[in-house]
Amino acid sequence: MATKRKLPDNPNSELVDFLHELADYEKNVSRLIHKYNAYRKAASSIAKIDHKIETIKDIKGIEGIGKKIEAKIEQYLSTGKIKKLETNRGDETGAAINQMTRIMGIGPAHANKLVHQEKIKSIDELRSHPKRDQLLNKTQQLGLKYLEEFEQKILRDEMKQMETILLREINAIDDQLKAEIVGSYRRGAAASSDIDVLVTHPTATILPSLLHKIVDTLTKKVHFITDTISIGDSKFMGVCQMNASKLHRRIDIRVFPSEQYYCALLYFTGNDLLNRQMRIVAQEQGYKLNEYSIQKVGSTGVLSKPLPVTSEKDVFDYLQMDYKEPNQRNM
Amino acid sequence: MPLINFRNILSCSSEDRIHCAENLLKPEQYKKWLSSKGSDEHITCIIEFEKSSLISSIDIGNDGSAFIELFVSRSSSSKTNDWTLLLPATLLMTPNESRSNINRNQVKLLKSSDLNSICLNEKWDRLKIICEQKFNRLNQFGLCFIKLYSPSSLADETNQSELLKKSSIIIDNDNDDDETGKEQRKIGSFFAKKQAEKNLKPSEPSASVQIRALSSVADELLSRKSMDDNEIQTLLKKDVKNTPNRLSKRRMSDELESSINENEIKRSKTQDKTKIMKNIVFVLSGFQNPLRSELRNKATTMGAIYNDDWDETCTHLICAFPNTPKFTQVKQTRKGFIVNKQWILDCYKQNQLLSEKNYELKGSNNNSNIIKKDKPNRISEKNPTKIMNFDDDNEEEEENEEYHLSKDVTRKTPIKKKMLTFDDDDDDEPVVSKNIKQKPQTKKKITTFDDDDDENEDSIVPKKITTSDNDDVYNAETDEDEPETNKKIFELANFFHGKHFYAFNDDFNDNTLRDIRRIIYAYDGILEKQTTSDVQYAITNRLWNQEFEKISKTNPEIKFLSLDWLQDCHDENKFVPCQPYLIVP
Repeated sequence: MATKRKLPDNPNSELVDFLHELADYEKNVSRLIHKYNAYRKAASSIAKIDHKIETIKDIKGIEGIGKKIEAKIEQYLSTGKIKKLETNRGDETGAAINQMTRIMGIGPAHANKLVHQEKIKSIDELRSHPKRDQLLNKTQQLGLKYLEEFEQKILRDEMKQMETILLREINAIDDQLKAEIVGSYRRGAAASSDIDVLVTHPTATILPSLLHKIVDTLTKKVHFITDTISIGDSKFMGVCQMNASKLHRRIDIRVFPSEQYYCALLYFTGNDLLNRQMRIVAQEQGYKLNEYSIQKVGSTGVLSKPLPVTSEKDVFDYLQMDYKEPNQRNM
Repeated sequence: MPLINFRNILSCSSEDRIHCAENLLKPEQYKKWLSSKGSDEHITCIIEFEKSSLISSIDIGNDGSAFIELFVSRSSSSKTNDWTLLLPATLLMTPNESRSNINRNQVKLLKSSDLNSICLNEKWDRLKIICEQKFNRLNQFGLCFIKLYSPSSLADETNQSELLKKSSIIIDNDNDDDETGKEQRKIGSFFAKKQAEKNLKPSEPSASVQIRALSSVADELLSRKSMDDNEIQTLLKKDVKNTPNRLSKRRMSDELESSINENEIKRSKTQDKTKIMKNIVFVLSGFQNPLRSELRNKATTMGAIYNDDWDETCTHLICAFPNTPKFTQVKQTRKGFIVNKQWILDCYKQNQLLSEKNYELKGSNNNSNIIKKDKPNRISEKNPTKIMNFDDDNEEEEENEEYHLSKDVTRKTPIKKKMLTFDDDDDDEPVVSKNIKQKPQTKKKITTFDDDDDENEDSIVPKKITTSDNDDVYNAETDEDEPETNKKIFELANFFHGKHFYAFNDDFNDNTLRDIRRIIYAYDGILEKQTTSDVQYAITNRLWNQEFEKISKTNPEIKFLSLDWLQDCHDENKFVPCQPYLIVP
């Protein structure tokens, strides 16, 4: 979900990208999270500047840029390159670690361990590693197994077909069940990276059992779900495949009681920038908004009970924002 | 639960010149506090109590605010701004309601579980109210009233339980009933009083309240073997002053009546529960869960159909108190019954359809004439022998009523004199009919009362009501109940038996629709509220159109007929062949 975004028309986008790359290196390879944060902060400060930075004077006094980062920017401005970045890019271990983090369920720590302790230098090495099953847990093994497939986008056409199957099977279980595919698909995107399904039912108490029933049906009856990563009372994570000729896809199914459904629908439809913007507006207007509810913040900071919400529009109404159709939510 | 009295307003951030914050001090007056025009989106008001009190529940009558927050403090506190949260921000109106300025006057009843538990065990003497309305900056906003209650003191509790014990000897006490009754009393008290206030005209004392008070005293008397004058006096006063009590007593007496009065039982044939309310389409207004669902379930169990909103098909509005938006809406349509929830509960308990008369809501009596005309809605089940005049009251009973009525009225006159200062709404109809219903024991009660009461009264007893304004009311009422001219009974044919009808509501005006309903019900037809697949005959005044086409696709059996057909069926008193009246493409 958290793919980094940059404003497309930023005059300094190249510099911002450099800073993000440096940041990621610090996070994944050196595992210095504070350096990572420092680069990110600098990047976002520069992203706010609306003119092209020509000389180092342009960024004097900007928040989040200290001496060291300033020096790197100066280097970039004068040579068009950053030495550290070049070194990083040439660093074999660094590249290997970055490779490992592509796998679902492997973060920088685990990637470092694999590269440094086990001396694994590539995905292929990991795949053929004799101790593979001990090195990776179930999720990571699935991530490794389907790595390339998961990285393929799902075209809207295929999403539509999967939606048909999902809704048909879910409605057959209980006609009071309501389900929707959220995420970029709901926003009208031409291609999506995974499938995110929200489900609700008027009777909140039977939701966990309904979730299990849905997963059971989709696994055994229509063989849509191929693997289960995890399943609890409110969330299923797994892998699905529409038919043998199609790729394996990541699928999440979440159930929400009806009073939380529309806040969840709004949140999981996104996009993340709209969510962030709405949370900021909520804060300004004296509300607290999250994926479960919207609450009024009282004059002493005490939260009200969740406010009644019967549609996504209700949330916009509380925040006095104009309603945005899902396809207008690509900020 | 005693009401906490307010002493004065300590501060107020914004108030209207007329609707000032001072109005909140006397919640019985129901004068509102509104922000001044163009005020901030928050308005604050600090009220001081007469004495330091525990707070256990709160009633809030909204007037256009979206949110409310309440804080409490003590004047003895050393810090100046030492407010403790009593009620976290609470929604009174949604953004949509606020923007369109609808449902401004909803009432919120808050129990101790809704309040900050830290506050409950301490005494407080100041209340800070913060109202917020930022969805609509054009309208003034504020509160209609706010009432704080202390927990019942120990003495009160014993009193209450005693009373309960006593009443349970006589009536089969129903627990959930009691629960719902409490709520009714609470809500009812405010609106009934408000109504009373509105109708207060010094020159026109209404007898109804006294009669009601008297009969409830009589009820009380029935339950106690002996009682001295003082007790009666206090009881009487309490009853007149205290509408909630009155309501509960009334309910008690209704129950009493059902258990005692044999005639009543004889009249009511116990029916199959699922058919008691067949053909009744009801709407609920002003009830919150769990009461709301209880009422809905009970009514639907009895065969009634629940509707979210009032439309042409609805026959009954079950209303918690007057002044709800639906109440106003239904009143304006001048159709259908507006009754309190006790009607459903009693019908359910007694397993029979009871007359709405005793349950009509305060303030709805203006409609009573019109309402009455709607009665044939149910005629088919209530009375197997159908009476042409569409009045389902039994003849014999009417005569009885007349007899008792005159007795009752005579008997009650003295009390009217005595309590001239008390007044109530002009809701006479239910009272009268109540007395009618009470028959034997009403008489008995009165006698008891007279015996126990002071001589003052005896001196006035001989005086007949002749000049009283109320005379007219009674006459009018009697006329309604006993249409002498229509006493002839016709056996109605049931040529519509088992046939399902639908009338396109938009095609006809209300009067015509009412006639359509009457005719259909009169001849034992079933009027559906939607074009379901059961519908065989749809009454319209339009030519063939797309809507008909659509309907006939899903229901090929349906026949679209002009109103003339129904009229001719009625005129010829038989099932006239439809062919000439068919509306076809």
